[in-house]
Amino acid sequence: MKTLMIGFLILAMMSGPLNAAENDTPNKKITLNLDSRSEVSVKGFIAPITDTMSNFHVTWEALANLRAAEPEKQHPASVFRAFLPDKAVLVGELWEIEETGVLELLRQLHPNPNLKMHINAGDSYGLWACLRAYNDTFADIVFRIHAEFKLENGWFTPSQFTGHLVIDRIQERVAFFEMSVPEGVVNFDVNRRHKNARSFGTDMGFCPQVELHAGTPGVLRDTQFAETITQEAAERALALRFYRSQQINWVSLEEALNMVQAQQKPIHAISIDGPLADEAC
Amino acid sequence: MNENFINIWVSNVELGRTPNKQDFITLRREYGFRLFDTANPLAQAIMKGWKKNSPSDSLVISSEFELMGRQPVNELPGANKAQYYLTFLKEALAGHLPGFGGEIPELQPEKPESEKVSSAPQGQSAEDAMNAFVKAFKNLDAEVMRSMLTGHARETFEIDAENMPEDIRTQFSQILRHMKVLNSQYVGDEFHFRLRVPGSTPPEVSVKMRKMEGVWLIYEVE
Repeated sequence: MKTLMIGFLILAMMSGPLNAAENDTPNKKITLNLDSRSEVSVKGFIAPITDTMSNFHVTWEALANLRAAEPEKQHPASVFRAFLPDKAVLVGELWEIEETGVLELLRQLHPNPNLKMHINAGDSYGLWACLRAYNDTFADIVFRIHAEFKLENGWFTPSQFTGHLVIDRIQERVAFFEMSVPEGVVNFDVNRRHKNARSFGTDMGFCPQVELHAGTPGVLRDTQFAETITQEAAERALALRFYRSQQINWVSLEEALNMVQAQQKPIHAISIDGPLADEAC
Repeated sequence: MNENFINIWVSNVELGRTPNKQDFITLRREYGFRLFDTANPLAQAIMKGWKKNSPSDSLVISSEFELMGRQPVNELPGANKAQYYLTFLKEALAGHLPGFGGEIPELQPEKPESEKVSSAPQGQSAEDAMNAFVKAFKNLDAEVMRSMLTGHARETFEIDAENMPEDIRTQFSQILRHMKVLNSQYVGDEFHFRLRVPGSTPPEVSVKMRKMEGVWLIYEVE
């Protein structure tokens, strides 16, 4: 971890002038690679669940005690190769992430991760990545992964795992990695099998932190990329890989109130328990 | 969809559709989550359009915030869902009020009927029933509590909250806000839970429920 941090600081100091010279770089396909000999120290967190709708976080021991299996772990950089495209890509281009490396990382949070999603209406499965930005020094990969954990007597299904993998293109190392379950009114769903029962009880709630990270996010904040799309554009492109319903231009309730005055169109509204475009429903 | 409509989805949780969602969202608000204003005319139209006990509803609402159609998710057919949904949207735009039987419901913002009856609806989980009972207990809502008891239990128990003077009721309610579920479990076909009730003697109360004609009802409190 110390090695990673020092390399990081030097590169962060150098990145300003380097980037200034690269602003005119045309959008071109780039190849991403990692030196498999290096190691990455990853920290894992699962904070105590604060709220559930039906109190499962109080009454279900497995959920009440859900914590990161290994708060800190050294991973070989090869694990992160799962996130890299197997060919050169353009900014905005998407590719599928390999399962093996992701499962290895998820096991740091819980010993029984599952990518096949025990409830799947056809659009739940998926691991996708998008090249959001790059310059000659760094490349920022944004990703979205649907995964869940098999608990004793049930399942813990986060809304999604999303985050960034920033690659140091010169040293071919992981400069920053973050994979977390984002905020939301609710951000997970649980199914609990009751004793002697075939059926599951369901609940959903909010967990303030389910996260893996390595390095510091300053590299994202301080780097001026030569080619880039916005975070929102990357997230939308990723969501479209999962849900056909995302082809509809959903707006917030507040936006709809403003739009209706100008457009005088009727409103098509769906009132639903969980979010429409993630797995916490 | 994009050409003909302004499209939104809203969370039943944020709108506090059922008692346990109201509790949950109160907690989320306390933790700083920013929520939208449910008093605005669009949110009010959505709440007015809800079908009782439906987990999810699609609604068509005019630019003047009048309801034009409703499609509860559980009333979609098994096959040809997309075609059925398209017909629903067309019917709504044609002014036929699909899903409302020609009659638009009235919104009761203080205590929507859908919430009141949700204390013991068909298909409600034992945990939902427990939470509804706890909520009613905290609010000293004798009517809802009584609706969750078996017939025999209603004859046995006395719920003395109805004729309580308002100032005493307020004091009790403030104390009962701190009531907690200590544990809960299925015991055979039954569901038991224990509550810590501040101010009561003894401070812990055991509640037992069983399912009768598809509804979880309380048959014993001690």
